[in-house]
Amino acid sequence: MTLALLVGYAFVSVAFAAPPSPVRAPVAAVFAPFFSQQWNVFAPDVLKSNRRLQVQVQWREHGELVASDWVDVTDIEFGAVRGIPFPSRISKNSVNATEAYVDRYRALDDEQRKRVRDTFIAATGEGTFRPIPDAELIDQIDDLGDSRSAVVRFLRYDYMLTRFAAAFGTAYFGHEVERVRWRVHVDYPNDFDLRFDPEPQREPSVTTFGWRQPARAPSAEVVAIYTDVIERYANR
Amino acid sequence: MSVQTGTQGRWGRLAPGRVWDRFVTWMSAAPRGTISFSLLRILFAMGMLILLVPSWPDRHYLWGAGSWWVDPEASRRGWWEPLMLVFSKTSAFWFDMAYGVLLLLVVLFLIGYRTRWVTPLLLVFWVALSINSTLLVNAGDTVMRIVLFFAIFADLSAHFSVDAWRRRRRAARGLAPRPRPRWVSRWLPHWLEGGWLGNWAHNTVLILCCYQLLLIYSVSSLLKLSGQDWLGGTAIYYALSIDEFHVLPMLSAAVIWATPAILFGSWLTLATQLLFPVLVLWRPTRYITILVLTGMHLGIAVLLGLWPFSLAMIGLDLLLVRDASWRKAATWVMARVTAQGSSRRTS
Repeated sequence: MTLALLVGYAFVSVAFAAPPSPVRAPVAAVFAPFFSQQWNVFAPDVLKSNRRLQVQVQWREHGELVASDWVDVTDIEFGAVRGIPFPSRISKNSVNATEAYVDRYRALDDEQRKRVRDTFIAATGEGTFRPIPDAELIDQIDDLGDSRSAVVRFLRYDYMLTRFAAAFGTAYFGHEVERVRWRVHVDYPNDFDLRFDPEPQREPSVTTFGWRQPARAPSAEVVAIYTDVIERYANR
Repeated sequence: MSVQTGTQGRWGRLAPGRVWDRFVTWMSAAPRGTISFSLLRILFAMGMLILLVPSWPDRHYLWGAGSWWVDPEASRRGWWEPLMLVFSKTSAFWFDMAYGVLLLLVVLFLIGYRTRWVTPLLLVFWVALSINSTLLVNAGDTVMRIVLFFAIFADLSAHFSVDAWRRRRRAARGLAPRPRPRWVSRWLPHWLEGGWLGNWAHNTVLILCCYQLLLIYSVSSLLKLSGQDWLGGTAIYYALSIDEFHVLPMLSAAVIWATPAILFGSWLTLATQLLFPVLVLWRPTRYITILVLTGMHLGIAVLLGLWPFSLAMIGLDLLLVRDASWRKAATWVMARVTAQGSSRRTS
């Protein structure tokens, strides 16, 4: 019995931990997500870039749209754990979201990437604007590339970041936000041989995405939670 | 002639029938690694507390109503729906209640109070919190989730626990172990407590946990071997250059200046993980390996702030130490302490 359990668990765990194979899907159908596992911690190589999520928002004043400055969300979250030996998990929040978002962005074709860096807002023709409906947006971007599922996966995360940026921007600037956009700022540590050189070996890269219009404003409860975090870690 | 007999005896010990008999005896005669399992309980609880307490001020932002934006992804992971309702995203009050219950369960687990009951409840609350966001789970959470599930069937409170203290107190009073209420007997697999089936379950968990350890180190080291950083000895430098892990920036900067430490640390980590399945076969190398890996995990904990992962892995590593070895080490330490004490008194 013990040996049967051991062999059975070995089969399941290797199916998850080994490189993808045809076995994984049927095993995952039964044993995921509880037994799903990957042990590529700092392997095969360590990530050699630092990604940051920076957010900009727009709100209306006297009928005119006003754009905010850029806010470095990741920097604020990192600030919460600097110098703390036992840190909060807040440092994983926006950095992991950015990593997942960039991975999905990279899965798109060049033309699709160009499109998603543009706005997802359309004019209605009556001086007002609306978010482009999901189905229309999916068709638009899908027509530019090969994989529809990659488009859906990207747009789902884009939709999530729209929600997040709206809540963060509303709390940070204290205005009812109408539009949001974000950029991913990436800098690179120097190579090992140049680790003592104070000059960065490579210039940082910035990818800016287009304006999005949140379908709904974040609730007052959510804004209060974000305000609390910003007051504590951004000293606002 | 005597050599021949000795050889025969050695080969005789390896005969399939005798190996099987020894295995059956090892599995059923007594629970193994009870001291290590008790230490694993304490280390897991400490890891959980080191996550939950510092994250307390940010709990609503990370897992509560503030994490509602992650739901389109979180709800697609295939977790059991009721489990996703344990930590409410709509009511701060009920979220805090669940967070409080989780903290209480961790403390009870730490002190080893009613561990048989607390362990499955702790698993439910631990998993329920971690699945509220897809962004915050790391390898330490995965280790704890899987090992805690196995550990439901093991004895985690034989030592350093309130349970053990209560058992000793009853025994000192000449009382039999407390009988279980009848309704409990109906639901709980009673064979898990005592008897050969209980021992078998406990020892099976020990084997599964050791396998899990083997899997983690083997997969991790083989992947590292396919990259360049670990073979080149530069991996620790790049890990310390990631902003996300700059919890103690001055310390990280100091380590980056220590080039030999970076090179030696990277190679030692790779070699120990890669050779782990062989090194644990012989007792002296096994204990050296455990020392090296414990040092490596403590380094990860302090420098990168990954305490839950590090403590969970140290807890798993320690399962390779037998109860007899812990007792021998404790006797040796006590003898040294006693000798030092008496030499101070005489001087």
